[in-house]
Amino acid sequence: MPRDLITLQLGQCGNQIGMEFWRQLCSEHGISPQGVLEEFATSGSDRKDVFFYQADDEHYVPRAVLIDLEPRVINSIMNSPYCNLYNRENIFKSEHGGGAGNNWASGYCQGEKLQEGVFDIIEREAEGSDSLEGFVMCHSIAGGTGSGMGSYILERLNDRFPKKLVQTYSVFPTLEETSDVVVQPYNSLLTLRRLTQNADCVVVMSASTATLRYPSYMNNDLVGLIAPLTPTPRLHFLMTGYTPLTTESSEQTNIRRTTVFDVMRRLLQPKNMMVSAPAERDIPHCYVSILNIIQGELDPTEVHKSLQRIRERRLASFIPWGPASIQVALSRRSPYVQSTHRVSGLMLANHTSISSLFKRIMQQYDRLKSHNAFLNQFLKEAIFEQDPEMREFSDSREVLQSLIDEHRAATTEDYIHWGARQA
Amino acid sequence: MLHELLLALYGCPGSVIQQTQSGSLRLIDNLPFISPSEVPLINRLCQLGAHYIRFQDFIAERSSYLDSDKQTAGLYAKVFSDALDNCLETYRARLVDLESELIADPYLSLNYVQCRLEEFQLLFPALSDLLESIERSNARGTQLMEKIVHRMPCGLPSAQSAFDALLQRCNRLAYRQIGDWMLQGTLDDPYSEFFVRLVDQKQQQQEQQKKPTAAVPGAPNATTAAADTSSIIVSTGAQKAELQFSLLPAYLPLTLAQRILFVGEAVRCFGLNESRSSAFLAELERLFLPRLETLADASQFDLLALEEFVADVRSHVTEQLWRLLMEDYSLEQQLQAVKDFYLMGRGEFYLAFIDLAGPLLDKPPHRMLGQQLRACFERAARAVGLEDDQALKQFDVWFDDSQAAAAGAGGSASDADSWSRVGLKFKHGWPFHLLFNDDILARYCQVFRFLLIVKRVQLTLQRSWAAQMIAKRGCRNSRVNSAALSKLEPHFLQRSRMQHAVDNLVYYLQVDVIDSRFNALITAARTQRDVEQLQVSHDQFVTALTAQSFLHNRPVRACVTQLLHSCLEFAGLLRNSLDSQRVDLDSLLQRMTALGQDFHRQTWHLLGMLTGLQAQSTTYLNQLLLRLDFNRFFSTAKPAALIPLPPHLRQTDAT
Repeated sequence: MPRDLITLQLGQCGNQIGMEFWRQLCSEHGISPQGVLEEFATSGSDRKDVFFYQADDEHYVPRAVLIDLEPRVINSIMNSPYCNLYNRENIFKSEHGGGAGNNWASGYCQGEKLQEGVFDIIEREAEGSDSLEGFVMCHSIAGGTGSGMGSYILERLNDRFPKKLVQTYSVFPTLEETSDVVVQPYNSLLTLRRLTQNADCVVVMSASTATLRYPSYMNNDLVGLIAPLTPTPRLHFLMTGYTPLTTESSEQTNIRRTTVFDVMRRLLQPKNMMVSAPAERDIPHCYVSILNIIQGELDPTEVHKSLQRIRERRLASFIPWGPASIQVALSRRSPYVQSTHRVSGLMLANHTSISSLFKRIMQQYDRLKSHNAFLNQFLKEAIFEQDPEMREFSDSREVLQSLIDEHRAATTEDYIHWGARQA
Repeated sequence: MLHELLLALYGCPGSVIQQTQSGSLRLIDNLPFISPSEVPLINRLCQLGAHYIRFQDFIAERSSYLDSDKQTAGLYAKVFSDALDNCLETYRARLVDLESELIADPYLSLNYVQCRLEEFQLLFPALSDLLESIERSNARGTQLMEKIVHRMPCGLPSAQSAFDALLQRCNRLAYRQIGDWMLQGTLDDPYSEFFVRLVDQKQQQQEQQKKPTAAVPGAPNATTAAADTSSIIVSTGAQKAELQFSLLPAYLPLTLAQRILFVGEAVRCFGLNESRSSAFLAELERLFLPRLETLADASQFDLLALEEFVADVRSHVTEQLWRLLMEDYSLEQQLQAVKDFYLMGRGEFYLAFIDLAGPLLDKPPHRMLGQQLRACFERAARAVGLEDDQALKQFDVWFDDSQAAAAGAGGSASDADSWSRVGLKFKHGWPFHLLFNDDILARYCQVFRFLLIVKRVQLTLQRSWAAQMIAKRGCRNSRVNSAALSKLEPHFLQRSRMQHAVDNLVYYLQVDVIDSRFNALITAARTQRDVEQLQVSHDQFVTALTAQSFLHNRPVRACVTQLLHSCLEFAGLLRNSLDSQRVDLDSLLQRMTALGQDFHRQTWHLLGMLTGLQAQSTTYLNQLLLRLDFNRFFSTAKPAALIPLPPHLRQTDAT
């Protein structure tokens, strides 16, 4: 009984990440851009069935649904060598092609209007899968389609598939003040509410390091991967780290020693994280949980020594209210990818400092909202017509505030009382 | 008169020299034409004749019953009597010479006869002694050789050379049998006189069942004993070769005999495979047969040379076998298959299997369970796309429904449920029986059961996590009572602690134990070009697995089992309380609180035990301890926060 996952790619950013994701998966599984299993990979015992289904003897088709309100990115994918990889029936482009104009409300309302078509595709895909475990959504929370339509789809997924897990890869806006989307704080805030309430696991990424190299198919199923990382329901925002990063120059990486300890030590360095959270000096932020997946030919006996050294050197601080540890899974690397790196590591970490990212978004939101800036384009949309007091905004802010509070509380021993106190 | 004497010496007593009741020959008394001084002389010579008669009888007896079913019959007896006859040939020739001399020179005296035959006066009593001891002990087969060596007269060069000749003839036969066994893998031994014999395995088992089994299965001393025998007895097909210690001559060391046994078994191993055997055997013969022939032809038995020969053949054969295993039968793949399925390297397959078989195993066992499990196993294979997997086809799941298992071999009642009675069979083909004997497979099975149980608890905890996340989302849509949910909130934390413990146990088992050890095994398999060494490495691998999964450490094992049990029940209850709108939520909560308490007590107990055992410098305990207590939560937290209960759990208890 394979644990199938359906990938939903929303908006410009989501489709770009998705593209990168499938490119990587194809190369690691030895599948050509046309979806045909390469000659050299036919004897492999790797698990392609998690993300692909087999159309016929040789064609592998991704379980992916591509959605966008404007056709530009999808059209560029369709003009790439990978055009024949996807199931064309799984591509959903808005009729008028105007996009959401970076407006959450517009994306949300269009999502509502277009839900028939979108869910026709999703449900067909779900029926075609033997045992669907859940959905993976790739989107950005700053723009219009990914955030607004993504929010809408998240809510409906909960209704239509109440027993399925939902994981998202959410690209958070870069921390620099200047942004091409002025209403980005609004979009982010409103989307974060859905991510808090409707998703089971959110992998947070910064737009600057959106190279998605995420071999989660190495684990048996999605639950097994994320359940140990999210001890309590709302602490489900994960950061990822990857080393050696592909963006680094090759000369530098060649000098690097690659022992298990080095990989683990480097993964704990902030510069290898794919999201950078601003430091907050007054709060002793700490790890809730860490999962390292290390690929390559390694000596498993090193794992124990590395764990010991990390503990001795206090390279990572952990929550004081419960047991926590670094879990290390070793896996062989894909035989089909020629990489200069002998060893590479991926980290999924639940770290309380993610709240500083939320805090930044909230500060930006507060600044905009205090001037009631740029609200008109939101109020035009249907969702706010019945909501003149803009409860949607204040509710979302409340959710976000409590999310920040909970993450901060998780740095103290009192956190064990948190759940009871909230009640 | 002298003629009469010659006849008597030739074993034909007449009227002058008569045979007495006791078998000795005597000159009849009071013969007038013989001087009294000659009488003792003649009588002394007649003793030779008496011995000769005895030897003749022995030869006639032994060589005649080659095809009779007497116990002492056999090739060695035949060879020995032939050699003896050969030895007597000189005596007979001397008599013939003497006769012609006497005819030619009538004046030759009795003294001359005595002088010519004097050397036999030393040899014949010694030989007679030997025969007597052989007859007394009913010695047969290679035992004869031992007797010869034992009775070897020292300081009598003529007698010694005769004995050497006897021994050499017997040794030749022994060498031939050793050669057959070591170079051909066959036993040419119709009278079972060789110190290696083949036993039918079924017969063997029956014999073993008759013996009271003193050793407790699973106890460490039983496993070491079994490991010892496994190196001596290597099973091939339906027949097993073993040493017959009673037939092993004392001058052959036991270790040498064991080597000879092993080499023969290894060669037989090749013999079972038609295509490979001819080339291999030809090569073996080309390399070693001339050496063996030189050895056999040597007049003196040379133990050192034999040992050297055996060692050389052994290293050649084991390397060939290693080559065969590694290159032709891809041993590494086979070991990988064992790791994938016995040791759950294929997590996704077992995920599917536990999904399918779980509901069956949760119920009390029934007769059809074994069959149903097999069906689940096949369906699981199909589900993860392994239906054509060659490695998986070698495995078969079975259910142990014997009475002993039902009674719970582990002792506690919690051990005796259906889950701990699931087994896995490994249908290994030729030549992997070299590595996977019954004992080793049984130990793999033990580890497999433990892993299966741990995996099941891990999955149940994960599923309750999913239920918890879904309930949290549902709360917004008021599907689940939000008041109930907030009551459950502290238990979510409890669940995450349990998850932490079980996950770390799994990681410890998979990474620290299985992966590390497996790596070492594969390295050993690649570098040790010797099958026997490989067997030892493999045995060490399995022993380390069982030891480090605490299968022999009863207190730790019991504690882990109880801990897993608490987790399992807790996860089940948590799911129940989330899944349905149950009215008796409070009683569920109470039970969950109690289980949480149990869990903390058990964790505390386990950590205490691990810390205590750590002092005995067992690194693997240290590994588990490090994982469980990585952020020093347990070692620094005030016991009050854990035992009896964290305060928030007490609060819910009160509400």
